Amino acid sequence: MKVIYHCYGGTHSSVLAAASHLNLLPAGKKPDRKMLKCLPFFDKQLKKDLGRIFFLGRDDQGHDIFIVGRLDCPEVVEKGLHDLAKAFSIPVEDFITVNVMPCVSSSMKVGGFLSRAMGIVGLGRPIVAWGGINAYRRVTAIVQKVKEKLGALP
Amino acid sequence: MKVIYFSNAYYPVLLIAGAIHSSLLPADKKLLTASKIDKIYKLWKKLKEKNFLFLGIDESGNHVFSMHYNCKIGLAKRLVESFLAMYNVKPEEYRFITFEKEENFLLKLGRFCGKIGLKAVERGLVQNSVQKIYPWMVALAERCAAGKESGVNS
Repeated sequence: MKVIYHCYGGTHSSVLAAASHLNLLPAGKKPDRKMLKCLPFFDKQLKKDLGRIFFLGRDDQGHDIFIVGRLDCPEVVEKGLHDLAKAFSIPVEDFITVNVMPCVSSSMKVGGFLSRAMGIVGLGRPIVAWGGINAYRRVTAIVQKVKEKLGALP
Repeated sequence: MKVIYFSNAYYPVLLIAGAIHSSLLPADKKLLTASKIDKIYKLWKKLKEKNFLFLGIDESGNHVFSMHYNCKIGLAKRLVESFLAMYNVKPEEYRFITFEKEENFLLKLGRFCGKIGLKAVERGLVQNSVQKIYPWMVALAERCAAGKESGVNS
C-alpha cells in the first residue's frame, strides 16, 4: 500500500505527517526545532517541485510513504489520481491520499509563506517550525487514523 | 497509448481538440452550426462536472481522455508524471497535452459578462470565440493524433 500525504506546499505539514508515520519523530511528545530541521524536505521544496510526488520511506508494516504539494487544489490529488489510476488499470485500493491541511495552523501558513513564497528563510523557518511543533498533536492524530485504517486492511 | 488532454481554464478550449481527436466532434474547419456549438457547451459542462472523462478511441487505437482541474498546468503535469512513474508506467505509454493561455479575450470577456449576470452576452461572445478557435483546434487535434504535437509548454 502507498500512502500519499498532501498539503499546500508539500514541505511542512505533509512532511511532518510522513515523518511521524515513519517514526522519524517521537510519537508521544512534541519534537524540537532541531528535529524538524533535520527532516528531509522540511521547508526545502521549491515551486518547481509542486505536484511532484516524493518518496520518504517505508514504514514498519511495509507501506510506502510519499508526500506532495498541490497548492489549493486538493481535488487534483484526491480525485484526479483515482481517476488516473482507473484509466491506467492501476488498482485504486493500492494507494490512499491523506489531506494534512486541516491540522495546519496560522503560524505555519505565515511562516511557510515567508520562507517559501517570499524567500525570507531566516524569518519564516523558525515561525513555521514553531507552528509545526504546536500543530504536531493534530498531525499525529491524523497519522494515527491512517495507521488504524491501514491496520484494518486485509 | 493513452492521450490526456488537460485544461485548467473556465472554458476548456483545449478539450475541444481532445473531443475532435476522439471523433466526438467533427474535424471540420468550416463555420460551426448552432447545434454543434450547443454540443460543445454541453461537453464543457460535462467535463467540468466529471473532471476526468474517457472521450473515446482514435483511429490509431489510442485511448483519449480529458482532464479538467483548476490547478496550475505544471503542477498537474508533474503530479501525473510522478504518479505514473510510481507504478512503472513508461512515458512512452502516454501523452499529456496541455496548452497555456487557452482563453482568448472574447472568452475572458464572456466569462466576466456571465459573472455579472449578462448570460445572453456571454453566450454570444463564447459562440463567436468558439467559431474562431475551432479550425485551430482541428489542426491541433490532427497534429496530436499524428504524434507531431505534444502541446506541452509548461
